[in-house]
Amino acid sequence: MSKSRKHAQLAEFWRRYRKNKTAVMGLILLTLIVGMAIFADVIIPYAKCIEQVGADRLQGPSAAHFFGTDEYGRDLFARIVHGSRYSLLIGLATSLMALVIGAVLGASAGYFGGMVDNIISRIVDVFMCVPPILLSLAVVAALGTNLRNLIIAITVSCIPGNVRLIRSVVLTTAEQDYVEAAKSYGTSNARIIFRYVLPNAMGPIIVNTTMSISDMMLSAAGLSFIGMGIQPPSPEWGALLSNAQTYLFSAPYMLLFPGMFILASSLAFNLVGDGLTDALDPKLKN
Amino acid sequence: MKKALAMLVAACTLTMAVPVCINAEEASGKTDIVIAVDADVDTLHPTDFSTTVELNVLNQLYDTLMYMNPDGTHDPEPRIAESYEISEDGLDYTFHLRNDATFHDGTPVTAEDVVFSIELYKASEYQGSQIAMLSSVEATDESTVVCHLDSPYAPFLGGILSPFICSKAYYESDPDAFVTSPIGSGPYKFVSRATGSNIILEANEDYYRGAPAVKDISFEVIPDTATKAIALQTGEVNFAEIDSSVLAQLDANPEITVTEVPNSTFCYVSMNLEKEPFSNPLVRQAINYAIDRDNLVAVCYDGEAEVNSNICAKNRNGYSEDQLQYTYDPDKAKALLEEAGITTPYDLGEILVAEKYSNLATVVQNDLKAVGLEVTISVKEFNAYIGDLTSGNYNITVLNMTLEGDTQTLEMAFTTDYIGTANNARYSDPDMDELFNQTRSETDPDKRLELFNQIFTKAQDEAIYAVLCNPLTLYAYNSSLQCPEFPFEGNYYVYDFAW
Repeated sequence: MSKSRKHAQLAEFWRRYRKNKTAVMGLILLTLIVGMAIFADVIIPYAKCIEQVGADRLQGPSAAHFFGTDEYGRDLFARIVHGSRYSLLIGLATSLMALVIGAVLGASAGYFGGMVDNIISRIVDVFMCVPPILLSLAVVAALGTNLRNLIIAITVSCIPGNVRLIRSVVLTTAEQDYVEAAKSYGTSNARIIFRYVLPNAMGPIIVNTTMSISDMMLSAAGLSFIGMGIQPPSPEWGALLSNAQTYLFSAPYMLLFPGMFILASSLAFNLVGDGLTDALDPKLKN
Repeated sequence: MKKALAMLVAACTLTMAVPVCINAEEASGKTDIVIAVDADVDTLHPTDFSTTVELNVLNQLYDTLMYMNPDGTHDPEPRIAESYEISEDGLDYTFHLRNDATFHDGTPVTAEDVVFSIELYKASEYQGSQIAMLSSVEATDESTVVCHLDSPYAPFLGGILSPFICSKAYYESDPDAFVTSPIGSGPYKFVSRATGSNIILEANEDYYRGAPAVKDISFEVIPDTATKAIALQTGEVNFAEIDSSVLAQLDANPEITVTEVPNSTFCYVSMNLEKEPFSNPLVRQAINYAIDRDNLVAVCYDGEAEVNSNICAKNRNGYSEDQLQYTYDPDKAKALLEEAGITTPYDLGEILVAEKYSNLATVVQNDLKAVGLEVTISVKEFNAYIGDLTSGNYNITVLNMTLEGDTQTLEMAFTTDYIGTANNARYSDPDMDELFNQTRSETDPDKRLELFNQIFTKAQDEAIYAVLCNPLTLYAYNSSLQCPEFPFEGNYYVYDFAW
């Protein structure tokens, strides 16, 4: 592929993506949230979100505390801004890890077929039987609760789905003529998988990964919510929600703001994912 | 796109669902009660229990010899025993049993069962200390039980009225069922238990004091405070011990009555003295000075607790103003750390807590950080946490503990014999063991008080624990439920309740 052709493809892709107004909205929303995570320290220092001011307990939103304060007198705006780092980190890290592992296993199963396919697929089947949240819970319970283990737990629960998806896409791609051609040239299997098969199966994989980021963020929020996620006082969005439920009636804003941000980021990833589906699908040219 | 829309819809329905409807309870005709408890029981063994929830359930299933109000100003009320006598030398306690008491399986409660129950209780590593003075117990006839002491011991009566009376024959025929499906002597019979979910009891219609007014009890495990508060408001739960964070919300509801009960429970930081640097008293004193107890009470208890750095509650026998009270003094804490040779910032490792204590840990972490001590919070499931705590598999923790009854029970927090049960600091000191030996046998109240003064002065000077406050027990219940006034320590008996 020449550089200009690649460029032209990208331009074509962007033209199609741009036509989808909701997808563009999602992209803007996503940019804002990612920007918030990257510039969190510029927006408000981390110290603010763990600083306990006894006199400022359970204050509603005000000019001093945009989103109010929690029962320890900690600024909720700071906690939400810095919480975005944890939530996005978990979403991105788990999705990428699950993608890489899923791609290797799924592509091997789809490309080689036979015994390899059988072994990988049956193992995946076993894991598919266990509900993802239970699988994550088991991993966290076994390894202990902290950020690293949380990421491992969510990744593990996400791998089986990825393997299945990638296997099925690779199955169709692997039978294309250009793969046959590459084989007849004596190209190595690894090169065929990574140079010819996977790039041509990329569309659905990208879409799935984008969508799964929001699922992963929700899983992390869920696990934190039941106390199996990030340990206090780290400001993860799910943990903020969990903490707020005690004050559901006396301080509903504590529930409202983290909830809104979880919703917004999840929505943004989903909208972008939808946009990518349409833009990457060659059959929907118009 | 569809998925995104579905999420938007889900979000909308979520906000719509917030208003909670309140069921008015029909006052008449109701005979069952649902009691919410924080955690499931680990055991229903009548002597090897260790948690408040276990005690609350067992209190309904089993009767004791007599009932003694923990405030110490009332005469004991008859239960399995109708009356008692103490010999002039103070060595023999004679109990006269009633002849109409039966176990739930219909067999009569005999003097032999009482002897068995007392011996089982004495052998229990969890409860035995309450009657440690007992040297032997015997049934002199069908309805008389005599307890012998080697030396006189004034608070013995309180202890000997604690054992639950259980069936010897049942224990011998099936020791497993004895624990899993108990047959008691009390006003309620065991029906079923779903692990992690609930325990069902029903009225013992043949109870010797008359059948209870409330016929069915269901103890439901609801660990989450807000859920419990909502369940109380919807009428799903009729009675519960509540957390102060939901006090405002429940107080505002005329359907719900909230009662505050003082007790000897203490909230404290326990440090593992077998580990560095907690073996150094200076470090422990520094931690005592570093914590702002007033702020902690405001944050974690909404003010519903009394600030106290002494393990002995202020209204308990043995407490004195002469014993050192630690107050908030971060500068002094820093100076003590320097004296101890600690260079700050210093990493103390993990502060291990159960989920329900994580708010305490968050405040403690913040206060310790201010004097240069770093801790990382690690939350565990309650029973796993208790396991680590009692086996000494931790560095520092913060929790609540209740050691009720005579002040003597506080030996469980200090003496060598209780390492592995309630002596969470794993403190071992021959002088302390000896002092508690003396308070055990001293009958002169003034001398005994002086010994307790020495004990708590020592405990405070060495800063064995960092005690923070005595939380008040808060009970919330349906306003149409009639509950008599709760005694000090807040034990409740559903037998006394009525709709």
